[in-house]
Amino acid sequence: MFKYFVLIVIFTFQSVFAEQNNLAKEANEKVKNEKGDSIKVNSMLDFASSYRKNDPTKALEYTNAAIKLANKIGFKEGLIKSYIERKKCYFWLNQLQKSIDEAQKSVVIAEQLNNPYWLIESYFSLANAYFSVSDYVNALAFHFEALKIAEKYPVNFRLLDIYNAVGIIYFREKNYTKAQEFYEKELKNVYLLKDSTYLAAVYDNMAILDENQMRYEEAINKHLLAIKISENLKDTNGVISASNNLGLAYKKIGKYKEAIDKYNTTFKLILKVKPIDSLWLAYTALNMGYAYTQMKEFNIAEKLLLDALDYLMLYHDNVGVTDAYYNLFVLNQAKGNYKNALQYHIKYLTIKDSTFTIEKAKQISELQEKYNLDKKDFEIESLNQQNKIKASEIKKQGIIRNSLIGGFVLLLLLIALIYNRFKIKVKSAEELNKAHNDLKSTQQQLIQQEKLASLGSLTAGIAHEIKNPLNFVTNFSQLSQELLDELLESSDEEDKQDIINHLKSNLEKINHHGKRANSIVMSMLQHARGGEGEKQATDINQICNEFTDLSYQGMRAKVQDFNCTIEKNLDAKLPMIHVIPQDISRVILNLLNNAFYACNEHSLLLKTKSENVQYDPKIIVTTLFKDQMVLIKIKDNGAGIPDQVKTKIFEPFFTTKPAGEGTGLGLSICNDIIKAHGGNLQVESAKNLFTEFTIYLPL
Amino acid sequence: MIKIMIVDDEQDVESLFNQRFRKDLKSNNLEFQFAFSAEDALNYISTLNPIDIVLILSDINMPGKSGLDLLKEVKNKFPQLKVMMVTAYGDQQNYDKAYSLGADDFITKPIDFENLREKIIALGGN
Repeated sequence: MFKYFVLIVIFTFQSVFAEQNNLAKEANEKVKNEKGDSIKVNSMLDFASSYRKNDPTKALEYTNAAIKLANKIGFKEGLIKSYIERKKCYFWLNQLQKSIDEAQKSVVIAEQLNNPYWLIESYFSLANAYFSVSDYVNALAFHFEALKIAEKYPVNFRLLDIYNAVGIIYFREKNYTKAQEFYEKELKNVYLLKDSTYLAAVYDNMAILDENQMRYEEAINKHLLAIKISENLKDTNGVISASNNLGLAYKKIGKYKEAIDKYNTTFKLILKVKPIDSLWLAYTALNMGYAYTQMKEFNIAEKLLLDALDYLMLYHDNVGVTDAYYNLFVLNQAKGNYKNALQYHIKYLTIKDSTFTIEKAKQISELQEKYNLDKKDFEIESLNQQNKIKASEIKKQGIIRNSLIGGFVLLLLLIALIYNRFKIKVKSAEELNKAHNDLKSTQQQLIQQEKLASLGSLTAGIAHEIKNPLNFVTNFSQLSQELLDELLESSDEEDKQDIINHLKSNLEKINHHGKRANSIVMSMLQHARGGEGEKQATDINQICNEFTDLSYQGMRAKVQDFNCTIEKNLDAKLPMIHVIPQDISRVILNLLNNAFYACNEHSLLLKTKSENVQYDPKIIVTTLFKDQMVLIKIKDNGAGIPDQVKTKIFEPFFTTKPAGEGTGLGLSICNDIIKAHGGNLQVESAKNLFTEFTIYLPL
Repeated sequence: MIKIMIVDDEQDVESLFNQRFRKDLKSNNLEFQFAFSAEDALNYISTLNPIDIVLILSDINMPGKSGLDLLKEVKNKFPQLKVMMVTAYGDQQNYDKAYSLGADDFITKPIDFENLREKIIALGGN
């Protein structure tokens, strides 16, 4: 059955194409023959619009030529018309931003010209351009600008278009009251214009609004009304569209028998209208198949669905194919054929994933809008021509109606898609939330990893640093015991006094080294814990002293023959400052580790290059108090940081270390910590000379 | 009398050694010279004429030049001087390196002073 339709469709396309070619030829001849330049501009634009859908690039070329000519002869109306045409060309080339730009240009000239007709046209055009990028705020704003003028004049079709467009925007924004208001305005004016095509369409629109608010009875009545009007008009396309919508409404409330009834009407009518819209037929078959499944008439359902699927696949209509797979899944499940059901479900999910990403759904709905709006523009143009050329009147009216109905059919699909998109949005919001939480916990893990990494580099240094004071504690306590024995045995007063002095000094040393070990353990724990630290008066010099040694020992533990001169210029008058000590020590340790690393890398590099270069690694740690700020400078004489790298060093995950050696978070975390203290972290560097980091901390 | 140089960045070693070898120092069997960095040690040795110290006892981990650097330079310039390395890490790598550079002995912290004393006296005997 469908193959037959395909043939017809192909023939139809060919004849339409031939017609367009003729139109183009006509326009071309017109351009040649017309003497007036302004008429030339109009002809070029006619030519462009005849090409627009099949070859928008070519249409663009003709529009560009029209603009050039209109500019040359100062033909403002022609220029506005050209910009609006160019807006449409970019629309079809899917360059939506450019489309907005062109519409804006038309507005600028229309405002200069201050002609109400062109103002309405250009505002409407700009509003549609914004609508196509889902910028509803601007779309509404310009529709209202157009309305302000249009409402002053006798009712015309453009006014209906604007009411309709505003209604759709409010519908999209889920402002159903406002949508209703504008559809009603449209309805009122449709009566005034006595145009039944618009009438049927607006009833259908309002019915969908009713359906969306679960007023099914009203919806069904309006659909029925739309059918009646279209029937009176002998507008078969109108009847098809409304009947199908009615079928969908019945389906929604579970009246499958009535739905099938309506689909049957649709089916018969589609076959009556030449050329036959085969895609429409396939969609009707899909809907019928679903309804038959619900009525447990599986054989008919399956036949309908498989036919529809064949056809939709032939036309690569993925939205339809997705629906078909889903309906087939439902059918097989209802039949109890679970093996097939599973297969269709998998197919459904696969194609759904590839088709219905959020972006795709958006693209599809944009495409539908494109058809919708463009067809309406086409209709208005035709109306204008209608006044001029009587002969083509009847023929063009047919086109207008067909395109209008086509437009509304697509509008319905669009609304279905909006609903789909809404569902997708809800789902994607959940997914987004989950992704956000995952990201947060990953971030925490990475920070913890970075902490452990720098702790790891510390352990060796800590082992050494703790072992030394502990050795002293052991040694001096042992010594003291021996001295006590001697003291008890000794009879010489001078000797006794000498021993007592030693004992006193030893106890002080034991105390000192015990405290020293404790402080090292404390700072290690603080470093590992982090996060919950509180601000307290802190001696920056002490931190610098402690961590310079720790960092150096850590480096020495890793690289056996690493040597480095350490110079400390610590300002004795440095005031205590209120900071989170473990955070600041992390920063200082990190900068020190980097400095030692840089020296070692530079030393290794020079060694591989030549034996003769004398390089003495050196690190200078400076603290000073200047302009109410505490400055901590850590300088190394390594290879320096190249300028292109310098801009990136504070970015998270940026590292120059080999893979697996650095997390790339060190300096990023340092920067965050210093910023959180209201301070500043800066770097200066010169190639092969030095790198100096300066921490500025406010008092 | 045996003159020994102790090199360690920890200044408290001075007090520790002086007390440990209190009796030997009192009886003038021993004399210690302390240096708190490898650089200081080398500077001091270069001022000696003749070199009257017989043994250098050096820590390995020190800021600036390490004990191993000191060992290398001393064995280069003053091969007759004996050098004993002391370290907090008793790791194989340091041990191997020290011997390859010509170290005469290698001891790990905490120092067994009785053992050290015997080694020093043995030096005096030679």
